[in-house]
Amino acid sequence: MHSVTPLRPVAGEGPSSTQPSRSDGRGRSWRIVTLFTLLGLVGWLVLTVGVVWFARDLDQWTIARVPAGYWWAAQGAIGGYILIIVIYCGLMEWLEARQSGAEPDDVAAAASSASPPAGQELHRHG
Amino acid sequence: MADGPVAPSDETRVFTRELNRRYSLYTAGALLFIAALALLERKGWPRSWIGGTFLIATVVVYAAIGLLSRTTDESEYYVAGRRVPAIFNGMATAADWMSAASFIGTAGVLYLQGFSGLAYILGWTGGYCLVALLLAPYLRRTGFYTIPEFIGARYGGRAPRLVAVSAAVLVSFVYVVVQIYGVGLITSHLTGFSFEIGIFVGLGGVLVCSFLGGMRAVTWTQVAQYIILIIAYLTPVVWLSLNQTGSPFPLFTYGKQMEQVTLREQRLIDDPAEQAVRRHLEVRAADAQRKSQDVRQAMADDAETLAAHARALRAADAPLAKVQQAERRLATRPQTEADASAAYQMVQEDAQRRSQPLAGMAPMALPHAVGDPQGNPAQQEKYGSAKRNFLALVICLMLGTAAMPHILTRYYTTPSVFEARRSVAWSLFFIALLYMAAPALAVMVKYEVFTHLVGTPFDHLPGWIHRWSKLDPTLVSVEDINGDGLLQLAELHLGTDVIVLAAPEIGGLPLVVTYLVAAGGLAAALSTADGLLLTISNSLSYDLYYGMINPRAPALRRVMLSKFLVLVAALLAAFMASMRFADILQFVTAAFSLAAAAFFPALVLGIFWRGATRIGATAGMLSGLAVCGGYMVFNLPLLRRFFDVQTPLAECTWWGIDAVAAGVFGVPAGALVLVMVSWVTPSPGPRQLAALDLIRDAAADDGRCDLR
Repeated sequence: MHSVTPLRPVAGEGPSSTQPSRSDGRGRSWRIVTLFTLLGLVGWLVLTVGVVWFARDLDQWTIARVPAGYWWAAQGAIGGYILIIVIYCGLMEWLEARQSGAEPDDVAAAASSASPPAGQELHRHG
Repeated sequence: MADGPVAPSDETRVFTRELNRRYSLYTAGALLFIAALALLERKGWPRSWIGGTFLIATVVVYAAIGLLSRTTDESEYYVAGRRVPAIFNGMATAADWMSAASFIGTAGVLYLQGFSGLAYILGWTGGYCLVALLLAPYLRRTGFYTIPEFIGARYGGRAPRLVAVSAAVLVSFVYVVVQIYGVGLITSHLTGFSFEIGIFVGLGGVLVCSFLGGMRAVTWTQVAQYIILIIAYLTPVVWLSLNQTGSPFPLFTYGKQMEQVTLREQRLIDDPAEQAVRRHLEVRAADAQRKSQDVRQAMADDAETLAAHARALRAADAPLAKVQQAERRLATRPQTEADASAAYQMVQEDAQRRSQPLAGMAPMALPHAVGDPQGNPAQQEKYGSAKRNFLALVICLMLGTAAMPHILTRYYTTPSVFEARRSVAWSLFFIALLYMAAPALAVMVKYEVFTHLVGTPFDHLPGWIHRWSKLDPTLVSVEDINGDGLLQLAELHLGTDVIVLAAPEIGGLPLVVTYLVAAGGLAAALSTADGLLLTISNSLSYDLYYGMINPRAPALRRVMLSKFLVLVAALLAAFMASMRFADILQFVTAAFSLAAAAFFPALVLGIFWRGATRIGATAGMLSGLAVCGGYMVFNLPLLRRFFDVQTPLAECTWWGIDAVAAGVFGVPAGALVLVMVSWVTPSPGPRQLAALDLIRDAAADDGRCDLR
């Protein structure tokens, strides 16, 4: 039951690390998840810092007669944030659909066959 | 479950259809109710009746939803039975999120501070990216009830959970006090009751919901409250846009009004009458400064002047009202030296600020307007500091968003991980509806004030000025400083919290819109207060009592204790709010800083880094809180006085960052300590790592592998 857990994690191990008892596919999918997350965070950071830092420089243009620096901070950035979340949702749904599609059975079977008994064990303990 | 984990189940679909039907009916009913009141206003109903009807009707509806959803079932009480579809959870989150500060504060800040106010709009929307990417799906996958429970399971042991409980209670309590202040302000505006009575009337509405039905009642009330608050916010914006530009789409027309406002700003700066008022104010500021240098002498002089003035009025047989006013001023003058000194200082600060161009308001559109990148070194330094502070505030609000326990628990209530992720997108969409409209509202109100109000003769001032200045002179006050009988911009003081509430009257809209806006503000304050009170009581009853003190307590007793604690927390918060702290945005920002510093590193590193350990997380949370709280103690004037800090203010700031944005120091400090301590302490145990695997495991998404 606890065969999955005795691994001592190495200090400083990155988020993309996997456990040996995990199948390779599971580890790879977590790496893809962290990649998507990282891309989303980069988009979020660039948008936020850019809008704040270059507001004066953007002001040489106008959007709908509003100075562009103001428009981006008041409306554009919010639209960008929604876009980031929607794209992330889409990517994750695609990933999960592909994952459950890779296993021929329906999801219930996929869950019971793929998920190690650690879940049930935990349930009993806690 | 043939649809797989990435589609809503049949059950959810049927439930969504039923909810759509019910809330469509509700919305239609609300619109009919507003139309009926508009008709009655035409028929000549007095204003107090309209205000009272709005207050009573909305609170009764919320209470009725709360009563209908009453429950003692544990899963229903803590997470609304995990049946809330993505779109409705989005609406509930939006109502939970948009507090009194968002509703009545943001447009006001944009009005007074121009571009700087956009920090709140950016910060309170961008944070949802962090929620969606880093937290919501993972939290939902665990199937827990509270945030401290998650921290307890990931790190094990008692200490992390205990720290999390304390932090959740601290943050939520600071925030709930602000909400109840908002409730009091709006209720007294709606009904004319005093502020203190207003607090307790509004509190009744909060309590019925969270008291009887926990999360289930709160969720369904919040959806109803969101519908009211968004109608209430958009109605005046659209109406003002129609009046001013002839188009019902304020988002596309406010640019035109902004051009007008910017032109008027320049004309007001050059106007000779404005300049005369500003010179008067400069003299007043200098006078107050002189007085505060020799307080004792100034007090004696003041007493003599006031007494002589009253005597002269009596001798000249002036109208009784004037004599009484003079005598009242003599009687209520500050009696102790400390009071007098504080009063002089306040007069000086106020006069100094208002003697600046545009009465101390920032220009509407110019980013980081206090400095100039092309100016002299001092101006360049000011520009850089404004930019740094803006970014710090934005980041701090975003990290705080992704750490507010009452928001994060909302994502436990969806049927699946897939719905939780989608519901973040819906939340941000519903929130954006209001935040995108706020700049338009601010610009249009400013246009009204600049073009219609400024220059009005004093005996023709609109009624709202009198009513508001009587209710609270710190919110609205006018004074004919240069004695020309006309209102100049520098003679008008409008507080942040009044811009939205008074917007319909400033724009000359019917009375019913005024009260609709107030009802919307009430909905915003009540919905947030509901969520916060529930978080406080659940942390205490579920995590502290059941999780640590008495793990054998039966479910019913846990729920009952939680209900009792809601009551206690609400009364305590009402007591704090009745002491009336000014400037609600400051307090809100402080709450966000604290939340970010306490939770963000522990939650995110707990999910994304296997090496985070129990001791590391505890130390990280504590040091984040300590750095953040310490920075506030050394830099916030109120806390400096309370703790008697002697170090000069200039030596306490780091890079000139404002005290309320202390979260930008707290979060990195907490994260750094967490990582360093985790490196030197024993690694997480097998159960914690198994828990982490499950949190990350997408195959567990149908909810059957809940950790509980």
